[in-house]
Amino acid sequence: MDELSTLDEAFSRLVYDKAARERLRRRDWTGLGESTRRALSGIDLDELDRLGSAVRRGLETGDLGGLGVRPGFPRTLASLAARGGEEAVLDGFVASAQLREVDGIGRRAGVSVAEAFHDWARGELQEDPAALCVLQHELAGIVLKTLLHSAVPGFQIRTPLIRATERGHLCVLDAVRPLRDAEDKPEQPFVHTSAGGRYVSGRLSLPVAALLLGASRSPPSWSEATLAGTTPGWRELARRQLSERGLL
Amino acid sequence: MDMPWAGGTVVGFDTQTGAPAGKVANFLQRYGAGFSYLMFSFQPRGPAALEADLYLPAYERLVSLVPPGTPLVFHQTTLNLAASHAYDRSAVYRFTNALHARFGFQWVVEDIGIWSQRGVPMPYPLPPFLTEEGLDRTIANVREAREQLAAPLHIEFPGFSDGFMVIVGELDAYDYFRRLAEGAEVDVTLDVGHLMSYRWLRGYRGRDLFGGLERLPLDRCRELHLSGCAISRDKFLDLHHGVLLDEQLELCELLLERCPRLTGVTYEDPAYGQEGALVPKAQPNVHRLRRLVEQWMS
Repeated sequence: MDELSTLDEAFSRLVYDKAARERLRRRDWTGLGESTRRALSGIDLDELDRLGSAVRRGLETGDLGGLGVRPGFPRTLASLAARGGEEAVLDGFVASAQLREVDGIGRRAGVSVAEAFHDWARGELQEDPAALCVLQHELAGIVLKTLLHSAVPGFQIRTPLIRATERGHLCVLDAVRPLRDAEDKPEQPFVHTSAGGRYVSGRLSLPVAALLLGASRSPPSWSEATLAGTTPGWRELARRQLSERGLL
Repeated sequence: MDMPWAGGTVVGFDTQTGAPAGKVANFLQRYGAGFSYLMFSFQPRGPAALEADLYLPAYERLVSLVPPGTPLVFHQTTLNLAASHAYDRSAVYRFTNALHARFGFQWVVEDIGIWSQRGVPMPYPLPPFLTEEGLDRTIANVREAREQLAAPLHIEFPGFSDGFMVIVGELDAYDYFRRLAEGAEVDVTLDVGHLMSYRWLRGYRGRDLFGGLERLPLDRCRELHLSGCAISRDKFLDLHHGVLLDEQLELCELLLERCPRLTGVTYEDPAYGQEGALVPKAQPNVHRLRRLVEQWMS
């Protein structure tokens, strides 16, 4: 790594990682070369702390990059905070590798803050299936509601659970347990959709979920198998009803 | 004019309709004919992609509020020219060039700063790394932007008071900026408040705030910016609140004399009420600025 990249990496850690700021305050230069130390030696530590706090707050509220943690993940934030306080949760996320995947500039060069938070929190909650289930639903909710107003988002959607359809986006989850992946068949399907200027969410039967997913651009294999067990008459009727409700 | 996207009554655009806020329309209808050009700033429309089609209708409505043929200048905020990390600007170039194709900007300007760090926008643009390696990288970034943008690019001297004074490196910012402009072969914008904020930070007071001008690329300066500033509790504050300091006008006068290629003077982020009238506190020095500029023009 050249000197500038090393300096930029150190600077990034100072902006995003509270522990790195605390090390600098202790004049702990471990791991930093002479030129990086020299470049950072005049930095105002109080201003740096203010910057770090403002970045954390901006990611929390959505003022920086949009799709903030607090409006998007109130229940997940509460369950994580029960372990050590909200500030520590947010500091943990801001310092994480997942945040580095964000593009909050609109270039579609990375994910949204919401998806980065989901990916980080998933690791934190891996022993808590109920909280993981909530996390999946909260991600689906904030992303699909955002897509209502920004049909051409400035970020990538990498989670395969959110699927594009002809009219918008769709996410079928399980009401009571987290899905392992995009092929996992829910036992109690719960849909989040954004289409035609409306966001709709709620429970539905497995065949109806299969019908909706079948109209997406990347249906899971179980949807076809499920639909094979229904009659053409039922499918036609269900399609008509879903279409009348703006869901297909 | 800073044009954020928000609700209906604040300055900026209405996020839902794309309409300029009523007070913006009132201001431009009241004073628009009295300005030589209109500069407006890019602000993101929530999480929308950088695609011209998502912004063009709103910008067209804004431009329709000034007399036809009014020259236009675009203030970018996503070129992020002082970024030292990998930062792909191709979407920014496409977006800016598409707007330029429609509006024919006189120039595009952006402050030399770190507007986002590794994908996350900063609360305020941070000063560039004042190191030799940082300067070299920024020269390369500016050269690339100059080549990729269809409109002329002006680089603006950064602010040193906007929120967070996190300064990395030891180079003098005036020297850094002159070497940058020369190395990248671009014209520049000097923001009078930004210059004073740097001198203030370095401990200068009184008339010494106006010192060191010979270290700036005055021969490349095409535009001056003046935005509302204040001094409070021994801090220089670049508030963009529309009220100009007497000292800003003094420095402006010096620069008008010393910048041989100057094209324009921009009063940034005017302060006005719902009916579009300048707030009383702003009026005296805005009128003084206008007289100064008229004198210079004649």
